Amino acid sequence: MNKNNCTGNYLTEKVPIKHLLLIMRTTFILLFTCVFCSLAEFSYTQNANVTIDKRNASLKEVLNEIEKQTDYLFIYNNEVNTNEKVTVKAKQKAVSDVLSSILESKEMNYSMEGNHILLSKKENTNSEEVSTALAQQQKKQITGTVVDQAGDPVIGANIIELGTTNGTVTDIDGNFILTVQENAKITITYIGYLQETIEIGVANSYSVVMVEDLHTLQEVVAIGYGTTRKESLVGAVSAVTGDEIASVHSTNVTTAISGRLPGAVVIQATGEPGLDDARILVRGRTTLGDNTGPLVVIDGIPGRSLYEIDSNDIESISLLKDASASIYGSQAANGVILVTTKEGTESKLVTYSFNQGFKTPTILPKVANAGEYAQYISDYQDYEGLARLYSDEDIELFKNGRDPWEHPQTDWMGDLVRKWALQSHHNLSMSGTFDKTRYYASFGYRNDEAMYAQESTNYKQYNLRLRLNVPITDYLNASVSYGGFLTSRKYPTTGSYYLVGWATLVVPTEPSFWPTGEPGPDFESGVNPVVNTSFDAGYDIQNNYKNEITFNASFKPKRIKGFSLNSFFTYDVYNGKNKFFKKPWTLYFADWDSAIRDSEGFITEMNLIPRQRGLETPELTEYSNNSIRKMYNVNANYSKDFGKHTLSAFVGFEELSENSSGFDAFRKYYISDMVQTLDAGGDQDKDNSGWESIYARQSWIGRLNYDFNDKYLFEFIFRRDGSLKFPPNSRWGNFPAALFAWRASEEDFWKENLSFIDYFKFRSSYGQMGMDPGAPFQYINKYSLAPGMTMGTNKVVNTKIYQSVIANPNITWEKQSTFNVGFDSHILNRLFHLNAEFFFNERSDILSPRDASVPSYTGLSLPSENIAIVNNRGFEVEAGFHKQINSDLRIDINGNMSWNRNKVVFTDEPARSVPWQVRTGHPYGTHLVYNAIGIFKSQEEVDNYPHWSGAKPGDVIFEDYNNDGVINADDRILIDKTDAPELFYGLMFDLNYKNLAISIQGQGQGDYFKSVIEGNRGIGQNVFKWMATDYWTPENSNTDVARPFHRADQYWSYLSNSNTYWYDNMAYFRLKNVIVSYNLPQKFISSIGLKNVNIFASGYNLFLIHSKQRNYDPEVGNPQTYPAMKTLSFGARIDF
Amino acid sequence: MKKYIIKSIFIICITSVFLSSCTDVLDQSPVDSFNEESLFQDINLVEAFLYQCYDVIGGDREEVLGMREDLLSSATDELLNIHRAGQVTFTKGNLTPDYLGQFGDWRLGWLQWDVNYLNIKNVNTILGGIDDVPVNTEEDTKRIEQIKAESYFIRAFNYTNLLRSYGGVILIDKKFNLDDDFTTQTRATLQETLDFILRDLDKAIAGLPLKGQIEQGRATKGAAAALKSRLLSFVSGELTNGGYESTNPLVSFQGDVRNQLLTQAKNIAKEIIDGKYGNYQLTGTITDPPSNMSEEEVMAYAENYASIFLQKGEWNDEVIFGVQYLNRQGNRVRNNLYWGPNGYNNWGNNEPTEPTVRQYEMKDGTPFVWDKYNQGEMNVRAFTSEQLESNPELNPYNGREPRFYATILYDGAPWRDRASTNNKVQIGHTMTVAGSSLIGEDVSGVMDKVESMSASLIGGNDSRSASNQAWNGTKTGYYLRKMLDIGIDGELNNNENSWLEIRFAEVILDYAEACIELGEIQEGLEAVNMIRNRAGLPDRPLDVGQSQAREWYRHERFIEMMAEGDRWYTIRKWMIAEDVIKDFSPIYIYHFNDGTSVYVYNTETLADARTFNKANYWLPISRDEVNKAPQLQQNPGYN
Repeated sequence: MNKNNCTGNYLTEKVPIKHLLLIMRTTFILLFTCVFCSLAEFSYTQNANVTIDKRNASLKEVLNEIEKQTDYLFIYNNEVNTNEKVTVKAKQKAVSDVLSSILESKEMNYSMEGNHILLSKKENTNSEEVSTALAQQQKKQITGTVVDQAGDPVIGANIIELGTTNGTVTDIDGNFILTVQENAKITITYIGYLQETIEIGVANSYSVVMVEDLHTLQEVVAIGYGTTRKESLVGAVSAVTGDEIASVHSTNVTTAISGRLPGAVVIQATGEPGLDDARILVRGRTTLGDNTGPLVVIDGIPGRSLYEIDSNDIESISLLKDASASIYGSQAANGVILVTTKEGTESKLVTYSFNQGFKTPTILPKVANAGEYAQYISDYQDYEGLARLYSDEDIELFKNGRDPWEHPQTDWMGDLVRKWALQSHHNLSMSGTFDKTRYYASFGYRNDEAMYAQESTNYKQYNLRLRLNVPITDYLNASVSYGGFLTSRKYPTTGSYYLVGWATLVVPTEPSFWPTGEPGPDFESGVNPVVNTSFDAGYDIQNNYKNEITFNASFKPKRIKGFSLNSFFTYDVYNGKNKFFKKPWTLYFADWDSAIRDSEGFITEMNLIPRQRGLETPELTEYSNNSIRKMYNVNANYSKDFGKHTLSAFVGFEELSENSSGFDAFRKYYISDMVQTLDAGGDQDKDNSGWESIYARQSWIGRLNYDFNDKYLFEFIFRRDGSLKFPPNSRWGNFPAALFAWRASEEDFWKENLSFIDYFKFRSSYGQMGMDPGAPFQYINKYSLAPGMTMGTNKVVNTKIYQSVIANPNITWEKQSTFNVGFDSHILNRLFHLNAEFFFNERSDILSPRDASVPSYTGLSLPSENIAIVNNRGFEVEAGFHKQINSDLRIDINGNMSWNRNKVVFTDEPARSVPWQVRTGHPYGTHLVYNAIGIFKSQEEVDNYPHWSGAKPGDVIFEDYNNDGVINADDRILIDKTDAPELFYGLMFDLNYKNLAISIQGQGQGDYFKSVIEGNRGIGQNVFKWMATDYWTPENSNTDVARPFHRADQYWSYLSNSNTYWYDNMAYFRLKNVIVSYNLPQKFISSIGLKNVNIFASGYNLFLIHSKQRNYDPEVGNPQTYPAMKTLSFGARIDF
Repeated sequence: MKKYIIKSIFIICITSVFLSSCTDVLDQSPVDSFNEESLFQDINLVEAFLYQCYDVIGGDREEVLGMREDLLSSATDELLNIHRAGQVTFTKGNLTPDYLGQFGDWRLGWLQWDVNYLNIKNVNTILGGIDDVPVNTEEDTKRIEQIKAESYFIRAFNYTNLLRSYGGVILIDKKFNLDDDFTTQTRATLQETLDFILRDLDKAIAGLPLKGQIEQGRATKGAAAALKSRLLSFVSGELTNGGYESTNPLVSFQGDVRNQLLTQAKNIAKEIIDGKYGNYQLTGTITDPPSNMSEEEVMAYAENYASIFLQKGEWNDEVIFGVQYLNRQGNRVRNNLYWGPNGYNNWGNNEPTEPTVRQYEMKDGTPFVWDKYNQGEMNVRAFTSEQLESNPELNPYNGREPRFYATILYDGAPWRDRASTNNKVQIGHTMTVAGSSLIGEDVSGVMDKVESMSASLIGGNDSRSASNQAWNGTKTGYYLRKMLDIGIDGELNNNENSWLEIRFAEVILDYAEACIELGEIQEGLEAVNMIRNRAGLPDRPLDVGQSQAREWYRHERFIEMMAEGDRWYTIRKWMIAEDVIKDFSPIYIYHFNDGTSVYVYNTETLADARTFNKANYWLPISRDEVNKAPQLQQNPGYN
């Protein structure tokens, strides 16, 4: 056991914030994490005066006092005994004078470097022990320089001779001088960096490069309304750095966190540009319905969007999973995601980064080709005794492709999709300090194109982020931040469901394009997916403009130490404009009579007749909406140390109000499609409408932290929210929480017996939080306006009033109780880490209608009432291996796994005819279906097992679940795991070798059953390849694939006979992300005037390592929608 | 020190400005709606709420009432719903409390238990609150009385739908509250239900204005009277008078009330015919048609009949109650798209069946006889072009009565122009070989030979072998023409022709039925002849017995009301569902290059397999509803 392992112990007796300031100067990562920096003082009052009156106080106390009164920061190692008692009486004396008088008698030196004061022991007063050693062994003086990876000096690093107390600290230039024994080893430690050990050889001078420790306990983690260090964290919080998110190079932040934030289940349902944000479930779900998304808080402002934010602007992301989320009260029950953005650095930094991505679908659903389809349909018709649609000659021609005019072999999906689509992302940021004002400014541009072969869909985003921290006086600071987003989505007029879904449905025996290149006829209503992806049919442009402005002021009176009064006011303006312009498009139809045929009868030439399809005249609908959100917060912080006791308190008041409105207008009968504005449309059939809505919330927020001797950490949270949504008597809700953490590894017994576990913190928490889904004013019977009946001989559409809300006069919050226990640990000198969480949640008062009790004959449409209960339990485990093999090579392996299962405890469920169909007790979203237990392989099998009337060999066998000899509705069973996977996991491997870094991430999910609605096929609609391959026929009876069928066949009716044959397991494990990056050598870079250049190549969604089915992407889980994309990208990041 | 204080005060001031400016943000009112108190403070709002009641008559804002993608008539022998045959549970024998299919969902929304009761609640809200509306002028008082009468009409309309589907039901005349006890209401008997509706109807008839004195589309005296006729006609049939579960008072009257009901039915119909509730007439002429009509004359009669269902603006005197549609705003329908031939890029639903098509008489009033020219061969008609030239009626679609041409799209029927072909519906297939060898073959002989010639088959543009949207092609061999507007391209535009919920012909037929059942044969058949004459058919002789008269009358009602939904009620009322809900096959047509044509009723395959379950004479109350209200007695035959 190495005694010198506790990096922090030399320095942590100090106020951490000021040390962070120091760290900031030299490190990137930690620079931005500390929101408190914005509150810290920046007036460098050189030679400041202090007033101290202390008798027999410890040196530590005095130093603390000086730090508080000035901007000086003390740096010293453990040779300096700060527990020595001193007496000081100074009134407006210079710091240097005070120090001189104290330290003179204490055999200590001090030196002032900028705002740092280094304390050291006087050289000639080494202890006797050392003197003896000196006498026995050769001594040698070494010098050295300690720098970070960027080449900047590391100030105040501890240099210790291993096995002794002999040591020193580096000076302002990172230099040190130390006399050590020959063949000694020295260790260099510094907060935020990995410990370095050097063997002293013949050389007298050593240069040490320190490597950032990405897993430091000093890392600052954002929690609600504040930050804390990891070691002081009391709640269950997962965190990921902005750099890590930015390095993923996925299209947006929601997908980038997949597998990187334990506890977050991330499911991307589509890869369509502009719509590809993932569904995020924090610890699964604990409620009914669709209101499952976590609260997203960006820089303290709740309810902002994770989709548009530029990953380069993110400093860190935290996920509050347990009672620590209670501080967000009424909106916290689905978990809270906190995003902290970057702010200005002390030294000037200009960074440009770009990446160019190439995207291709991970898996395109495979459908039958023309020959297979014709064969399938013919086998169906033969089996059913129906007239054939295709003769054997037709089938042969569809198979051999000899006759492209009359027997085309169309690959619709192939014609729809191009091999590679482009995506690019640029970001330019500037950061620095100008005349004490720190600034951060960033401009980002993102372009994301669709996979369609025709010119079509794209998503463009421009974002601007600006942050100024302005110290007005040394006790008053202000900051302004601005986030501006301009997003532009351009889509074809047909949704991707039709484009992609129908490309799997359209029969391959019809031409997408004629052999001469003209687009072929439509499927139905103008649908030719290949043509519909282009803008020939018009366009759907959605432009959104977001302006988010926050003013922040912080008041820190010098007189009341540890106290600050802060406020912010934020004003968000969102504008949306949507222009939906449709026009007829041209498709070409065969004129068979004009066909010219060759000697074998095959068409060689033919006239095609162009026809306008889709609609009669151009139509335009414009939508416009805007919303304004105003929020302000006033809060006070106070913290004080009482010896071993530390107390801090936070109290705040917050108010949010929102106002949204919108309108839309429609015209058609455009004379020409040249002018595409509303006024150019005809007067007839024009239409318009509008809407308006409001929302407001007020909150009281409080938090109390008590910390005894850094061992026992207590946190109490209280929030009281009032919402406009609820009636006065149930408007206010209280959300308390209590959290406790115990750093057991600080206990003596632990150090004596379990010292191989260097760090162990046990945490537990219990809290209540809420959710306020649904529209405001559900407590009032609401009557709304809508267009009603067409009345009168002149056909006037009367405006009608209808009851839009049936009042629930007692409506209030959903309430969630959350219980969590967990621990964080570091093992074997931080070679391993292991964290685990176990939780149990119960949500009550979930809004749900009283289905079982109020019959329909009352005519009452039921309001949702606070009656349902759902619980959820699970665990998360996170483990890692971290090894600095030598100063050039480092390996990190991290894995995380989350599992949860929810259970519907109570809904007002109507009585079910059989007990196994009762949904209460099952997880949410369970499906009621017949259990398909194979297919009837022969008539004998049909005869020997109960079956629906009309069952034939080759049909699916529905299980006779209750063994009553009849297949009826009672035989349906519930299948679980249909809402989201219960198990979600990620595995990361990072390797750093000199300037090279490689990061590999695997990500996966457990069992998750989805119905892929493929039953709706047959004649006129193509079938999937797996359905058209090795299917049952009288000749091929030994197979698991059912016989050919048609969707209208009653036996195969998807709606009435939904069964597990159509369900697939979406469990998978995939190579999610590989990143290779390289820092160009410093020599080369500096010669062209750059600070740092990092080039990288990355791959996202690379391939499936394991998957229960491979017909389509298991994450998307739907073959009829825009697929997930595999992205290969390269790029660079240049620091000027 | 002073500086601190001043600045602290400054900050406190700023924050308190924030605080004070917005303390009432939680006490705002909705900005986009009215509350219940305001509803009954303004007669205009009450009237706007009444429009909602009119709207919910049909179940939802669009597609109000019967003219929908799926017609109720496809639950009878008239039509086939090709896209959702499995959900037409009435003809599949699988209509149970667990699965009602279309009878429990929005597709037949106006029949739904839930929707009818929802609207009854709406009406009860109006009737419960309207007396509180402040009255300023005499005009207001009149409007209130009219709105009340309209409300009674709408409630009666909903209850009539419920009675005709479920029998005796729960009767509610007040608004429920959520905390009421829902376990005490039980189903009223059929008699009580009838009496309840009749009371509403009498109030409606008394309070409503005549047509022309109120906006078209709202209830009138005539509409209320015709609804009364419809109701009384239904309850005077076999089904409710001991024909089925005679001892169950929920579905059958107890005691012999039939003659009394028939008399009531006859009287109200007579009063309407006599003009007591407004002037109603059959469209066109009711004088005897010329004998041996030319094709033009037949088509003129056909167009007259078709025009009834294509009224877009002001309704003529045949219309008693209906719903108007607009291309874009308000209520919308797309019947041209839903029902039209696939070759026109339409969806081909609701296809007339061959057995029903054979019911259409010849233009001289004689029955159509398939085997007229080849006795005993009920499935094949084959002829050469020469034979056809000498006897055009060899083609089964030649020489039929006018309503056939107005109602059915058959192979060769004239329809919209289309670019690639012509303006005729092409259901039959073209064969590029000679076909005279098929003459004389039976079904299997024809089908075998056609199969051997399949390489030379070119699928009809509007068939299931079409190159265009074959899956929408006809399964029966026909498309429905009634209510389709040849003037619009269904693929691109909505229909604007009104749905006629109640038309005068129905009242005349109700009258005829009541008379015939009461033994007043001559009066009854005279009414039937009005319908026939208007359609261009000669009179039936009046001196026949009751059963012949009944047969003729039922035939006439079948043909006249084809596809309008009426038959779902009549086959139940007359208890003939088990006779007419039967499997049927498609008609296949082949035109050979030597001029031979072959029409095959292909009995080797089915167009639709059908089963009738006697319990389905009344709809079951859904399992969910019975579970919520266990006191609800289920209809007979269901568990």
